[in-house]
Amino acid sequence: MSGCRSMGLLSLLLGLGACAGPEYAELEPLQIEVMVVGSATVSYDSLRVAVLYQGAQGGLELGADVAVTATGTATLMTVMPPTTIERGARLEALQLPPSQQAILVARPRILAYLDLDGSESFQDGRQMTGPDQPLGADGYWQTLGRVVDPWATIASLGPDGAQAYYRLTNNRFTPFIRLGREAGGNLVADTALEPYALDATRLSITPADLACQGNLRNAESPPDEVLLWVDRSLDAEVLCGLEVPHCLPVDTSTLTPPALPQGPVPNAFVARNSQCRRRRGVEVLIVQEDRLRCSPSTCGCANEIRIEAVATATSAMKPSWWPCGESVDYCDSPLPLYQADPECYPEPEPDPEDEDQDDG
Amino acid sequence: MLALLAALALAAPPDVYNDDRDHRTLLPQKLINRNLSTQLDTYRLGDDLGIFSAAADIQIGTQAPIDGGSPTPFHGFFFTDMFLAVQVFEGIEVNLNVLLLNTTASGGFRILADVLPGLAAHLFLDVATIDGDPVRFDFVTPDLDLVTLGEGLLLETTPLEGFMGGLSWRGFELQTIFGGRVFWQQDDMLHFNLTALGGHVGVSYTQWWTGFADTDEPSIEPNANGRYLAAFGRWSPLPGITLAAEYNARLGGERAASQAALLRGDLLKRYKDFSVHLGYQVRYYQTGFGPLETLTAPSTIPSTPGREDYYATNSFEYLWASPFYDQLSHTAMLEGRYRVGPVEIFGELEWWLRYVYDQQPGPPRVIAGLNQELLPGLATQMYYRAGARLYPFEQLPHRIVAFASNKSIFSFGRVTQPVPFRFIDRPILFIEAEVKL
Repeated sequence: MSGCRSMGLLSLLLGLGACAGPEYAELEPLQIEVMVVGSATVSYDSLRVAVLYQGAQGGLELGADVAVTATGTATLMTVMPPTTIERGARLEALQLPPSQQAILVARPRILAYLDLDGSESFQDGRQMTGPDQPLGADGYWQTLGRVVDPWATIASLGPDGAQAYYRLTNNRFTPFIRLGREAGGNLVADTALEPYALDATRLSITPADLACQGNLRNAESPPDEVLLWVDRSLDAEVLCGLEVPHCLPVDTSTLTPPALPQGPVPNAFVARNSQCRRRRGVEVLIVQEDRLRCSPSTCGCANEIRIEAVATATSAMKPSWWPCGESVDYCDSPLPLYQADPECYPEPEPDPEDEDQDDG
Repeated sequence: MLALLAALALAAPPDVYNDDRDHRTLLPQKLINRNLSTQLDTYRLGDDLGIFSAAADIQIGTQAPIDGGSPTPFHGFFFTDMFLAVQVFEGIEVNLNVLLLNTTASGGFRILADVLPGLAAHLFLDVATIDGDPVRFDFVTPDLDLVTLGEGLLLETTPLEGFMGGLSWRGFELQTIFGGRVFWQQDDMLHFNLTALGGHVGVSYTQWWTGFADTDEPSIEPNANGRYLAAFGRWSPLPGITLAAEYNARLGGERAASQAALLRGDLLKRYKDFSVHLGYQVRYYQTGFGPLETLTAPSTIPSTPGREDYYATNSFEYLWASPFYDQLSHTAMLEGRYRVGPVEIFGELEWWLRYVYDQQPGPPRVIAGLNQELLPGLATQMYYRAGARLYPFEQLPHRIVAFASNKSIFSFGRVTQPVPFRFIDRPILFIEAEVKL
């Protein structure tokens, strides 16, 4: 079609110039912003993005697969739509506002992964059991639709429907449409215009999220895993009683101190907090990690809690690394001494982008 | 040249006020719902009835698809186009046009019958005298019949209701036209033009807007909002040859000015038994020229068989796609007829070549055109009509017509239901009988 644009006036008047039909028109590629947070272990040599489709019979169908060539923590990359959609993709109806004309879309999932075997394809990780390591996938509830046959679809819409289509694609001829889901599960169009962002830090749930087509549910959480170090200034057996099985006496001055949370959390599915507690002559440092884990086989997600705590007598000499009252605040709570109280967690720092918007 | 200009400037007023039929073709011409008495030949039964004039064009016909496909909407139709004019007194004429028709007998007994009345009150009087010549005032409302603005770049042979009127003196005329419901629901058009040389040159201003919008939300109901400045003219260097041009600019759209242009040439020759018309048009519509900012299907009414007698090349086909595309088209027209005794052989051809291209950076946006063709790109369309007319009565126009054509009017059954495209492109055999009373 570029020939149609570049025709000179004389060519136009005479009707000359190659002007290919629309069936040859190329499709606008999809621009994806891949966000990699805490990427010290991510090698861009092996970071790739794959387009996977939810299959009609379950499982995943493989689509385009491209390499991330730039470096940095935010990479804008281009996914060319395949000219044909893979067979077996599950199709869903999307109603175009305001006409409510329905078009069929397949649901691609955009997956960032480490191509550990160098095959330049996620095919070997199709069942989530291959050597490639999924890093993150786009969310199931805010995602994309891939129009199966954009030429035939648009031909069926008429001018008003075509206008509605291009309103959703930001006036671009692309088969990718931003989608959301209503509470009832129906697809709805999303007219967000910002780059499509893929958070490659959902490591802990990505395989299950893909395998379960986003249908993850809450599962019963396992018992908290607690390790309590008790300074020799206290009686460990009396302090731990029957509730804390991993309760060990220790000389806190020689103990390797538990790692306190520092910097941003690696992703939204891991939380680390520290807290100090005091009661009846006992002072406790608590470091707690909450991690959401999902099973690809059961599609259940449970919150795993690991607690490492150090207890000492209030009157005893504190080891030099003791952070209570300095880098870690005390919390007045009725909960057991080895449990961190969420009421005392610090307020999350506001997102700088949100702050900017508020200022604006 | 000065003598020619002077002669044109003093041109006599036309027989029909603001006659917007295309007289540069050989396509059949319908009667216009005003100045009826000036249009009637002596064979008309209502030609000489004092203050009354009356006429009726009656037609029955059938259409049989040659391709063996499903029947067309008008495969068993009749229509009676009746006109009655009363000159109440000098300066006021009341014209009533009633179109009675039945789309097809297949719809059930009179089920698809329609009555479309149109009344035009026509006021005309001399209001002053300048330099010895009268200044004439004309006003027609509400039935305007066919309306063409300028040379037809913006609007051409489109039936409208509204009002029109103005002042004319010698070859000069100042005129305004208001039309409601033009190409979209609830759109309106107000047009002013100043012409000279008997309408051969002129300038105009047109506002095309949505007068009664239900909402200001364009995604729900796109609103027309176009302001146009145009200049146009036509010239006949030799008898039978007419050259015409129009330049039009939409002001204040998404760009400062979106432009359109039309060049047209016609050769029309009539001999004793043989007539021929050769026509050519080139049209250019720049992106954003149409009055809407978003792609919106146009529609037109009524969908009556008489509208097959107009070219497919019409602004209706261009303006709706204007939000996305530049459009350039070439159209060649050829009509001819030859009469041998009671039989007249005729043929018509319209070859329409349209380039549609997207100026937006990146891959062009693809849409389906009104005839389901994918745009942008090159779209070609050829309409033909060829057959014979049998005149059983030597001096009368009553006739039986048989012809093949690929241009059949589209209708949903009810001719008053707006249609998004005008013609069905399929080979069809037409057999019709026409009586003119």
